[in-house]
Amino acid sequence: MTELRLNNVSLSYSRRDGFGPVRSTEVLRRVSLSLAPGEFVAVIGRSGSGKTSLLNLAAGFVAPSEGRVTRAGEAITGPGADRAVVFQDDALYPWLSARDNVAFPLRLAGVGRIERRERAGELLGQVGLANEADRQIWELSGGQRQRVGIARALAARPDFLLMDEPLGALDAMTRERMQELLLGVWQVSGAGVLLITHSVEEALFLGTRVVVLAPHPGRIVLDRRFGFSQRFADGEAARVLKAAPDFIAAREELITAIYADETVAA
Amino acid sequence: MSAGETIVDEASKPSGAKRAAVRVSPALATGLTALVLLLLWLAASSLQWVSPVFLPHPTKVLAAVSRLLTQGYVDGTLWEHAAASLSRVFTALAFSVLVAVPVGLAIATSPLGRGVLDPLIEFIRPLPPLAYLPLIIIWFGIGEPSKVLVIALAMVAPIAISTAAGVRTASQNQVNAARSFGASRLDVLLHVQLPSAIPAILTGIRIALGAGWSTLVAAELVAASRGLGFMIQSAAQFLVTDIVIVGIFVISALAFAFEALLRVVERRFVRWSGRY
Repeated sequence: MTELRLNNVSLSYSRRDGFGPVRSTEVLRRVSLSLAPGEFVAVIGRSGSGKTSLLNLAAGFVAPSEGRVTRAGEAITGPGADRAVVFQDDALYPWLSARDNVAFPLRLAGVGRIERRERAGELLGQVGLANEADRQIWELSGGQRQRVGIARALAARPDFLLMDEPLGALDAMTRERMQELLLGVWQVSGAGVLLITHSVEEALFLGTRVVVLAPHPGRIVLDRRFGFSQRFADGEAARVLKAAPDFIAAREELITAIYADETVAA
Repeated sequence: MSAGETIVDEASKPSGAKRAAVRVSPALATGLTALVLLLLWLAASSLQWVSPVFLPHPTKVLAAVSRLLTQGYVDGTLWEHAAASLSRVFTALAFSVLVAVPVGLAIATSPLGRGVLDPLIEFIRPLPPLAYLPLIIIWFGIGEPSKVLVIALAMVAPIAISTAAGVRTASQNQVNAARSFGASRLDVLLHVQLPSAIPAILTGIRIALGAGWSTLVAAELVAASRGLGFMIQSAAQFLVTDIVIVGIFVISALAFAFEALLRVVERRFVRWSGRY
């Protein structure tokens, strides 16, 4: 089994303000989540529910305070090329062209210059940027940059793609098109995807599974399979799908789950 | 032209005309300032407000320039003195870049590096070169290495501090992205943190060159036989103020030229800086 697994994971940060006492903030409490190759798991939750911390744990950027993060049964001790990350702020390298950004993981892997430029070009074609390959990063729009970021992560040929609100900073129109692009990329690559988002519609449309986190401390309150992305792959139009009664019913159910513990306060 | 037209013209133009009169281009202001200063100098020396020994006439300074170019002063032409100083400043720059960039990287990326090197950099940063010059002569003699070392010491701190600050401009996500593609700590340093620091390093080099030129005269105080600083001091001892003034202008012009060159390099090679 090659799955990526968070096993009863808790995460706390210790913080000290000035000379005051050390405070410990619990970000995640006993979270268990598995991600198999080929799966698309969308994680959604209010701010403070530990979505990004979950991704940081899976990526290996932080170590859990309790529990284990494993890859095919082996404990993860740090980040690795099998789990490539896409960030909301694209995190590209502005001193490199679009092509060289995408070629960056290949350079790290020791791929020769000619081959990596060729493969970077192919990947940029795959995200619809064939004509922008030799542009500078600061010449690209926000949506184009994000596509470069996705192509760059794919260049690492990861088993898992970890995406932290990759479409969060985009306008609504661009975002819809990018969602379809993400599905296409996911199907071609066969990678397992962990997508952090704060859009319920996006989570439902893209995820084969949707996981809902509740805050203070972050914990999983819902983990369910959905088939909307498959229906899109089978040819249903995106807007028709998002307006379908069962989509809307599922969306309302998720929204209820997200705000379940807030009804008392309201 | 009828009276009516005139009225219309005056009604539409005054505000624009006034604004045009107030708006002076910086280049024009610079040119006018230089002209006024030159005229003041001309007046001061022509009308003998001050003794020609203190302030020689501009024509005398021009004559000194041609004398320096052909016959030279204290065993060297102006070219030879300038070449000697340039080679000292740029040898010092090369050495200080080789030392200061790795020092800056270490300060920014390793707690041990910061603990060891940061206090050392902060120790030498405020020291006036004239304060440590005697010690360096005692340790390293009066040869060329001492002169280069004095200049290099003045250049190390600004480059190291700028490098360290530049490394920190790489965002946590840029670093984490590289790590998630399998980058080692060294990969991150060489392929992410160092490139992000390049604009800051260039700024550091500009500041360092300024420090280098101001240290030059001090460095050439001791047992030099060539150099602009040496030329100025030799001339000053015999009150040859026209040579002193030429020396000052040449140092200023050289520093200005290299500053301009670095700005061109910056625009050409780090076009991404400030646009992303």
